[in-house]
Amino acid sequence: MIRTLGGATLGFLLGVILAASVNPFVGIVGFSESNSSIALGYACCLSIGALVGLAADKQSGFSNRAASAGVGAALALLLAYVFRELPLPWLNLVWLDGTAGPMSELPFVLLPVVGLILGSVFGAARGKAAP
Amino acid sequence: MPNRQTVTLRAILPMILVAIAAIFALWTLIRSPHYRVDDAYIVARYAENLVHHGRLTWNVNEPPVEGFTGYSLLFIMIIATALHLPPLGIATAVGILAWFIGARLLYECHKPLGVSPWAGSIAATLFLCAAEQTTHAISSLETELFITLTIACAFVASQRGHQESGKGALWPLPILALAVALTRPEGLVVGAAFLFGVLLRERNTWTKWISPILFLFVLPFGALQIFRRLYFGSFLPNTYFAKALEAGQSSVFGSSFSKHASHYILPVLVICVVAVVIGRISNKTISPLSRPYQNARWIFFVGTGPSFIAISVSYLRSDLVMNYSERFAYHLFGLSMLVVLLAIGEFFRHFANITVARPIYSTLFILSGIGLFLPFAHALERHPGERAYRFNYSSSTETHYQLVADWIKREISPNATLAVYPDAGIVPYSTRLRTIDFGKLNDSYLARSGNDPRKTVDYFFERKPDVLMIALTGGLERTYEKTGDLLLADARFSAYRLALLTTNHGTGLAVFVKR
Repeated sequence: MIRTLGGATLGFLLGVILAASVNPFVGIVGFSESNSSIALGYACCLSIGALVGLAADKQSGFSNRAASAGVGAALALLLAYVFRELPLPWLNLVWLDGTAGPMSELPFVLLPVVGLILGSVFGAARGKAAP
Repeated sequence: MPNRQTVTLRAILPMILVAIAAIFALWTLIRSPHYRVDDAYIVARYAENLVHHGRLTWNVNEPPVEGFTGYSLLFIMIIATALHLPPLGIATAVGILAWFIGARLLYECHKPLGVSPWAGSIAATLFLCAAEQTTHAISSLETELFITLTIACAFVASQRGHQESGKGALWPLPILALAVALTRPEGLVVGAAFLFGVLLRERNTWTKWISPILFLFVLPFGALQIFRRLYFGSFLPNTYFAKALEAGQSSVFGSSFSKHASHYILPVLVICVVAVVIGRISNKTISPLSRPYQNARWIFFVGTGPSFIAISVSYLRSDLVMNYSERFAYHLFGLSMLVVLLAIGEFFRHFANITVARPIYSTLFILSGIGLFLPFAHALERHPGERAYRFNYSSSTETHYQLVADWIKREISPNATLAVYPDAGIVPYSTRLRTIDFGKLNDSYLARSGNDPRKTVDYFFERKPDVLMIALTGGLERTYEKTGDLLLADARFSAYRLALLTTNHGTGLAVFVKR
């Protein structure tokens, strides 16, 4: 439990820091509109996944750190893709007055969420080797 | 070791999933408003002219023009007309039948391609659930037939991967290749690509393929080309020239296909790539496929790759009119679904071999499940919109086109010449009048004269039709496109008077007759 919470905190903070770094560049449109900003969104998620994976150790069942970073990046890609593409109304901020659009396109939503989920998953995986 | 009941259940469950999807598809058909695309009436007119007047042409006493897209649908309508059956109703029945046969064949493709039956059932389910499929199945056009024939080609070609070179029945593939080439012109590429793939693999016994390919594919298609050249005066159909893009024009295909791919193909490819990457990282001992499956997949990719590229390039160079429900992207839907089937199969194969800690495995399982759900979410999300589209189309046919056709039949002499701009379907078919098609498909001069509006306007006054039916988008001030605006504004048009106006918020039809 402590490992899961620790991983989640680490991942969340990583996401917030990265979001704060890229937010001035992407502006109000976030990770939408142009292909470059969408690609930047995916790149940020991949970085979070790779970093969270790097923090995992051999006790999680990986042969080396590169492998765990690779798995983290692959999971982050899938998570970001699913989060972006899921056509659910509650993922859209249109119900909030004054703003609109999918939450997954906002750096301050997408990156901390990806960090939080992957951090807790890799935190929980520590000490649990592959079945 | 699993007992017999478990084995039976494992075999039946994927089929149950497809059966449920088939019931859903049937339900969408039953609930759908009556819908028939205007272009289908064009093919029916050719069929009737051949059966009743002995001439395969648009206007009976004029030089022949090839204004239909493919011969398969025409043959079906000719047979129906000759047997006194409703040609358009039969075309709809063929479309619906092709849809369900396509799903069945798609499911069966899991066997030769060496993937899990679940992959087959998921691909077939998506094939049946996609909202646009209902529209295409009942459109009375050849879309669904073409999709199914491409799947049949891929299925038969990939089955050759499991047979000894030159052995077994060699005739099904050339026949299917001919059928797909006769259904749409671009089908020639699909048929030839799959034949090429099989020939490459069976190159050691290529002589055994000479007779079936020559007699069942090359000679019949060659004979058709000679007939085209002699009868219509061109190796290419008139529709090819009518849809050629001018410099500076851009095709809708790129955006249409990217929307289609992002909804139905990309989600599955993403989960497949992620599972393969994680599978390779965590477990390097994934057993390779046996040789027959490798052969089948090789043939499949040799057939599918060039087909995708050639068809996409030809569509990118065309002015794709009537691209309702992403129709032109849907011509690739059969092959797309086979790619989806393979991707899901590879996902299952690698996912089963992943060895990571349970929390990571569970997360991947959940995210992959959501990823697999995405194409279905998009498919189901589109159903109300597609139904509304079919309803609006059907209602505008009733309130505008049928009204105009009835009025013309009542008020205009049967010897009059009608000009239609641009829809040449229901009104010329119902009135049986000699018709000049300003939508270009059935007029060899207009199809080859480019997009110069002045030339088109001059052509109108040269031909001096007795009646003009023109589509309006903003009352009498704005027609379907610039050429129509120029025509109505031309001083020579004072020789015509407005006889009938049927518009709803400025959109509808106007009928002008000679003063």
